[in-house]
Amino acid sequence: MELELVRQRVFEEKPGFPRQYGPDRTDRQPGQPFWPHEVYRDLVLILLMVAILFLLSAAITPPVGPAKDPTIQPFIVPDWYLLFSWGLLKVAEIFPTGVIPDPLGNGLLGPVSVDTGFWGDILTSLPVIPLFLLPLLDRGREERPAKAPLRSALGLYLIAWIFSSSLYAINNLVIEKWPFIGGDDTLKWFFVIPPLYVGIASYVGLRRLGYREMYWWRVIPIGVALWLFSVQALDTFVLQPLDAGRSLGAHAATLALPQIQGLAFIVLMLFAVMVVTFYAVTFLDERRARALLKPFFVVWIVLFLLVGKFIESTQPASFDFILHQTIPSMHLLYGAPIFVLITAYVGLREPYSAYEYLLNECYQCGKCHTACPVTKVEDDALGGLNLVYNTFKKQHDGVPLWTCLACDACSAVCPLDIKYSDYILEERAKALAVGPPSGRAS
Amino acid sequence: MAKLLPRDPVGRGNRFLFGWIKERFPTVPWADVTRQSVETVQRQLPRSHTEKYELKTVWYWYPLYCLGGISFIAFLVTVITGIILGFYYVPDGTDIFTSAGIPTNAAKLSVACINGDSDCPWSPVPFGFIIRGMHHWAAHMMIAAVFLHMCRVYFTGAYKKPRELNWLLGVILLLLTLLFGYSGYLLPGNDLSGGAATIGINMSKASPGPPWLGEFVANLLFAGTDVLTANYILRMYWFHVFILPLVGTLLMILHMALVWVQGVAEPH
Amino acid sequence: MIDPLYGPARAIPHPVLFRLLDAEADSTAVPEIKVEQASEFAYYPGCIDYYDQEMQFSHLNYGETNHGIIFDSTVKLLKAVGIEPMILDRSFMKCCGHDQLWQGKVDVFQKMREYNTRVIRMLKVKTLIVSCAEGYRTFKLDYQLEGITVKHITQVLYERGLRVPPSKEGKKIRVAYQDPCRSCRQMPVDPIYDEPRDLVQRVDNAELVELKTFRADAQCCGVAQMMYCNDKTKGITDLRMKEAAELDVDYLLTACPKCLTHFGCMHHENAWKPGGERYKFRVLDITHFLAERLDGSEIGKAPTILPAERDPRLKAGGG
Repeated sequence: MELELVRQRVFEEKPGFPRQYGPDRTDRQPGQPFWPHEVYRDLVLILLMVAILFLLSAAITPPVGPAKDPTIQPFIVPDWYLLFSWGLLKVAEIFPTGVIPDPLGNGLLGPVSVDTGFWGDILTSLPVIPLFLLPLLDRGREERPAKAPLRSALGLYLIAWIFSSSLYAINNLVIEKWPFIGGDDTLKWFFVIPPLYVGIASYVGLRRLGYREMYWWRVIPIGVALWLFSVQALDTFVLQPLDAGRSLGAHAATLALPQIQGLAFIVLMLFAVMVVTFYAVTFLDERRARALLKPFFVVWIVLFLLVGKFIESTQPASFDFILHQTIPSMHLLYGAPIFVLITAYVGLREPYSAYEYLLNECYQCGKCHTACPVTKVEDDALGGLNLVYNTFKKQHDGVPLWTCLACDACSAVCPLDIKYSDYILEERAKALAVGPPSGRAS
Repeated sequence: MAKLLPRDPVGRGNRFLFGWIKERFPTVPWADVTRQSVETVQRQLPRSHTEKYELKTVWYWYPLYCLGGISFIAFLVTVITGIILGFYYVPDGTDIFTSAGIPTNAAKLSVACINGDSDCPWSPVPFGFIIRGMHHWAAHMMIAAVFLHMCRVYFTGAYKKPRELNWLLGVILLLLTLLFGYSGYLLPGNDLSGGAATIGINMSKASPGPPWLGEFVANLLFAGTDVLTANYILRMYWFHVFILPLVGTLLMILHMALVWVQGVAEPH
Repeated sequence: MIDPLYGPARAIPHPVLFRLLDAEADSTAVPEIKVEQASEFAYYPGCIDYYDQEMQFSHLNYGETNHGIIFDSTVKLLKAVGIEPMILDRSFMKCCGHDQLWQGKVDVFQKMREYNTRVIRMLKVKTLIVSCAEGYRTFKLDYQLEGITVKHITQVLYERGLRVPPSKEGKKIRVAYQDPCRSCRQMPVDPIYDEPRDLVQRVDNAELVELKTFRADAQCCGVAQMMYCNDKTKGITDLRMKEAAELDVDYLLTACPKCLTHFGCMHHENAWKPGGERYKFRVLDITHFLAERLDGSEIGKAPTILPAERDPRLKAGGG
């Protein structure tokens, strides 16, 4: 009687519960019922958040400030969530301005005044339009973030870009606090280079996580970063000083040896990490590359920090000098080595065992479940779908280890050719390995 | 295995204290009754995804699935605290000058009274600073939760068929939430309000399109094209208190109804 | 006890059988083997020696599941294509170990494999012929016998051009073939799909009928590696038998004694049902079917070890 009650309550007939299996399945993304489990789980975190809310409200009262004054234009900072728009408005000054007399030619649009406000409006809608178009653009079936590296990398790129834009919104505050940034230009480059770093590094990492072909995807970004770094270093330290009255050249007469030494050392350290990483990633196989790079990175980071600390404490003038020389080109001089470190780390990873690799390929098409004869008679197979995937994830799949016939009907229909019976064999052997030797009753 | 306790033929109980109590008072095994009733109820519940698949590994995405709920509760908190604030807030932004020549306005003064500041000409609102604080932090929490919720849905691919409509509703709700925040911080009539209104009016006036569009949008959103003469606080008040809550609540209910009907996208 | 609803088949003691096989694995000494006539071909009957009527069905089975006849048929067929194999039977060979391997008892399997390989090499076998699909897979894939070719009997008969004389039956018979999982789907090399079908078509009055799922999609017979015998596995077997019944076949052929066992058991259970629901077809191993037609000896007669007057099927409602 109780079993019947349970069966009725299981959402066999309610919408959202998966009922179709196999290649002709039309309910591509069946859902989990919201009530009651999701609600219960959400409640726990919601109560936690409300508690934090009470605490914040009691402890930190948001300030009001003086009333608006019609006579002055105060410097204000909008709330954080609109900073990206403010930043885009500020950066719009790099775009051309003017007046377009009559774009359509029939007087309908009239003279259009192209100014920073115009560009600011257009740019603010930039992050929004792809959001609206997203379901149209991405109609594939792949949901898992690790198996859709392009989508995930683009998302991270967009988030980094919005962050850069928000940073530019407070550009004068940033320059005030860290004057060695040099100028607005470095902050403008934040729009371009750091989001690219984030996007490419995450793409490489996710591709590796999804066991796709990796070699060139690793070598090319690191190689390009090395090349750009070299070009930038050449420009900053060799070509620019040759220009009259610029940085190094202007200070040439007053430069002290420690300053030059310090600068050279820092630049060489940055160069070294990039060259070694490029060599390891290009010419060594993954295991040897990891074995080389892991200790190398640790040693390098510690050494770099120690040297920096040393210079800062013993020769503050040199330290200041180095910052002033290198920070304006920070995107390539410091950004490239960091990018290379991270890309190498995520691009060279410990491979899984063969089974985990194979079973992880499963994309839950459900064909194995349709073909399996046991699921037709086994009571426990309530919506237990995707034999292969659920077994890999150690989730109960309705065909427990010992009921499987090992008839390979699932493997025969699997589009990825995953041999399920081999896995069963291994698991049974492992399970019995801990039991009495010849399987006899003890 | 623990040593088995000696058998208990008399029913005295194997522990000294409990045995003493059991011998003198009628004790009901409440723990057992509770456990039985809980287990019976639990067996009537359908198995969750975790139970059905007997997940042994902690699935690290799980807490992120609560973000939608968090944003909704934060919205409810802002609604309730907003209603309370509305009893005391005055949506008037015209500049008045104090005797010392310092510019101020009725909106700012009402907020000062809510906050318990010294420049409040009327009586301060008891515990107003807490209500205002909660409104402020709940608003920020809602915006953060909405953004993170959108990120979660994006990265887990939960916008794909059959959930495209829900995603579009979500994006519209995101924009509404941002507008909520913007119209909200224009209301107190302080420096931030004035500066942000200036930016907003200028951006509206520069709307891409025919020349009359800019003026139209600025008049629609800010009740004027010049910050000094515009009655933008009253207009933003209307948006913040009626239009956006009405549209937002309807869309939120529709959004959540779609999730209820379609089910939460399967976590993988 | 004879189960009144399902008949005696439900009381088959599998665990006893496996204890016996595992105990046999422990002894490693190879006994004296007298080779009467050495040959490069060897025939390994395997389970048939164990699962014959003597072992399992003797006093329980009134039906026609006959494993021992596979042995006789195979030898007869091999003689008909001119092969006189050495018979590697139970007196000095052990179980091939397939079931133990798939049940997870890898160490038992390894003992059996080591012993059997030793004997096969000692006898200098070049071609090992099996009549069992599980044996085919085990010897071909899991034993890794270098330099020795493993063939199923159907492959040998096909390659050697077995000729079946014209039939004396007269009427056309509809024959269905069950593709065993082990020799078809699970074999990455040399799966046996076409040879048995071709052999069936050599019988001139036989019409080959394909079941609903066939070749690589063929549904399993329901029990593998003798793991369970319960309502669920019977359900699977029943699904397959129903496929054959729907197509109105006269014979259901298999190439694996396990399939034969399970279909036969199901057939026997079904024989206790009232007339309208009985399966009308015979379940035979393909070697038995072909051997019957080689000399026309037992066509159409269901063998039974009980005299007709004591056959409970003839009584109403069964015993």
